Amino acid sequence: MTSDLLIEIDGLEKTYRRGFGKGFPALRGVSLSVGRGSVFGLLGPNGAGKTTMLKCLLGLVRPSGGSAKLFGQPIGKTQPLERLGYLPEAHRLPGYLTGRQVLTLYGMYSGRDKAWLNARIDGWLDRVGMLTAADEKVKTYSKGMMQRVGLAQALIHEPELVFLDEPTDGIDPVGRAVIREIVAELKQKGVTIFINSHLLMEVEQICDRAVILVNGQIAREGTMAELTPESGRTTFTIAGQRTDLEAMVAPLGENFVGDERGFGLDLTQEQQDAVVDRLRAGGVSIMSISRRKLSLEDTFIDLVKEDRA
Amino acid sequence: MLASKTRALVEDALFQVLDNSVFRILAVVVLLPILFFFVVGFHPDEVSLLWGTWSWSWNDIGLTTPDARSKAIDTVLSILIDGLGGVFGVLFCIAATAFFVPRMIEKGAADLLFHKPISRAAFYFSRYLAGLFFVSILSTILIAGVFAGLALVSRHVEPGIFWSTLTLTYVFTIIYSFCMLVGVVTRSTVAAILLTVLFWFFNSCVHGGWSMMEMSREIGPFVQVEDHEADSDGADETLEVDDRPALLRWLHTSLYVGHLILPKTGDAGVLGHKLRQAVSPPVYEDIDAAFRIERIPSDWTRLPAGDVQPGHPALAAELGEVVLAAASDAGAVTVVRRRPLETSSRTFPSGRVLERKEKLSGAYDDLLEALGEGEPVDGWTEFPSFGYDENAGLPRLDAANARATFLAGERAIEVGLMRRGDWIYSFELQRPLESPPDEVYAFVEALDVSPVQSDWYEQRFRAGAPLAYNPTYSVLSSLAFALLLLALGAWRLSRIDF
Repeated sequence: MTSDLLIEIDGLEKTYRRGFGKGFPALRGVSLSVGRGSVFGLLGPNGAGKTTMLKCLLGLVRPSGGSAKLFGQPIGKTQPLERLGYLPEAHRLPGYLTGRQVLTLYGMYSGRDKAWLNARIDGWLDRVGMLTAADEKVKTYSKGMMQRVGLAQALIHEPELVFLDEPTDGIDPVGRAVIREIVAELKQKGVTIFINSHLLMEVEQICDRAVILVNGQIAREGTMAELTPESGRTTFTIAGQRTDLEAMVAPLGENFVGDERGFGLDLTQEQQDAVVDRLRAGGVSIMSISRRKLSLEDTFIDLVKEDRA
Repeated sequence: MLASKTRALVEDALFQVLDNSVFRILAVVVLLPILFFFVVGFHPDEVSLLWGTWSWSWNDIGLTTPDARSKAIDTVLSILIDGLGGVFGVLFCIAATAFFVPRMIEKGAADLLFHKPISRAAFYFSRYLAGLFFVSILSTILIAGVFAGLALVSRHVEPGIFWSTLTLTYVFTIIYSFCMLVGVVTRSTVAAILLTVLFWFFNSCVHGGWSMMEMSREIGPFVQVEDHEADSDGADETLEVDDRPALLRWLHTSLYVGHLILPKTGDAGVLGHKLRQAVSPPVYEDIDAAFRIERIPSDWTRLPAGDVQPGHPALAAELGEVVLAAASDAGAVTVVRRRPLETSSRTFPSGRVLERKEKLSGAYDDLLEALGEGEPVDGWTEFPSFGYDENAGLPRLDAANARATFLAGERAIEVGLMRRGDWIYSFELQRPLESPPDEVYAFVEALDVSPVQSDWYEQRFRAGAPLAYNPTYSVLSSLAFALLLLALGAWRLSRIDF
């Protein structure tokens, strides 16, 4: 039976040891499941264990405890690795190869036939904007060019699961837009994408689910809607100027702040309805009502602050 | 799928080698000795530069033996291939390939490679093979170029030198396995180079030290030769007692153990020489007696044993069967004979039986007696020497030598006796009286009779010898050591968290 879960992590632990000391616990019992076709964000402050978790899944780091599966098979097996692509953070492509050779060799390392790859390499090089520099040695590339070729090598063999660790690092805004497009296309094709990034705006735009790791543990996990709830802060803009607004609506909510264009209040949905009724009854003309949502960054910062507190 | 991965490993290794600037520099450096053999011609009578623009006879440059050309070629080949190639060439190749592993496991590079569905060990071994490929390409260019130069310019075909490709790669195979291990443990190219050079040096010291102590043990002053129960008629039975200081004995044992365990890189040169001989075997070889005649000089012709006329009837009776005979264009004849040493036994009152082997001095006396009417040739000095000759350096290895000269009719005869193993070998040199003695001596020199004392280790290094001198053990134990280092390196790599 084929499971729809591509990644299953259960109580994963990793402690880095140096010498005979207790070591540094990078992961403390992380459990997580990722289904097919989702774009999954992995967030967290520096040292939270994001990269360690990815590396455990990819066999680059040996877990100290717990278990994990890729495509239903325990990590450490080579077979699942043929079905995934990985763009490491701060990767170093071999300088003695050209961009084209990188895609050929790394695609072949993933088990693809050379002829199969040759039919696709130009397309991918073009897609990441590296076709013209394809036959130059990697050692002559800029950081952004390396990142583009690195992304192409992660995707050239058409993996079902892709891990992107800081994919837009060193890429200009146009390049970032291209990467967002590529991710959207992959999602449409049913490829599962795991993105580790510090650019929360980007994650918010691209991902449909995310997990926030803090101190080696999952602090929050959910859909983007769940991670960016409405804050309850409601801003009313009214026509004309009224001096009795505070007296009229402040008792209905909290934290009233007025200005020349209207006022703001912390309100639930019911309280908001009551405020509208009160304003209309008082003859106030309402030009707009906006409820502010929490950004991913707000959620993230709150969680980190909570942890530090 | 496996084919794709394997092909990728091979191509990756190939690209890494070909893009290496040191490889390209070395490829150019390798052209220099090749160029030498294309501009210097080794001809039968002369050596020429730039295809005859300048030329010098062998006598002009101080090489007076009839086989000066072969000796000159051998010497130059030995310097260029075994010396420069086998030591400096391998060192440069280590310097050029030491970065393969440290660079592969740098942060960022390792992540890209080791998440692929290929074991880390496969990547590790592919880098190792890349190094071997690097060296085998360079050594093949060197050897093939030298071969072509010799064949085209000097008209000398030496197919045996192709074995040097194998022996150069063999040395690198062993040394590079250590370099790889250091590379994976320290992740530093500089450390890998330095420690590998140190390891090689240490290794050479162990083998050289052991070999020297072995040789010294046989001939050196620390072995007391006690003449137990010596009797009046001079039985030469001896009992060797090792009374060296304990520290020296301990050092000798340690070096012996080290020699057995450590890879024997120094044997590559000896192996190469043996392999070259397999292509151009000596004209005569007695392995047990460690006696070998490499070749007959070019202006001499080998004679069938049945055509040999002894210079004196007693010679055939006293000196035994003919193993080799040759005649020169000038009418000189050389006959090499051998006969077994006579043995007798003596029983002492204690019941101890001692076996007594014939001394060379006795054989010499018998020969002089049998020759009877022979008399020394004017101007020649008769100087028999028996037993230990301190000036010879290694008298016990060289056994005893004796020489006699006399006149037989119109010909001068010189007879040399040598004790080799359980045999007495003899040279009978016949020449017309008018031929100068130098010609005969030159012939003996050109015969290239081996072994000489400097070949001490090579004499013992042969199939069937004890482990310490056994070529099969040498190669297998060295390769096993290299494999162990590789396995350790692969294991260490598998334990690294990237």
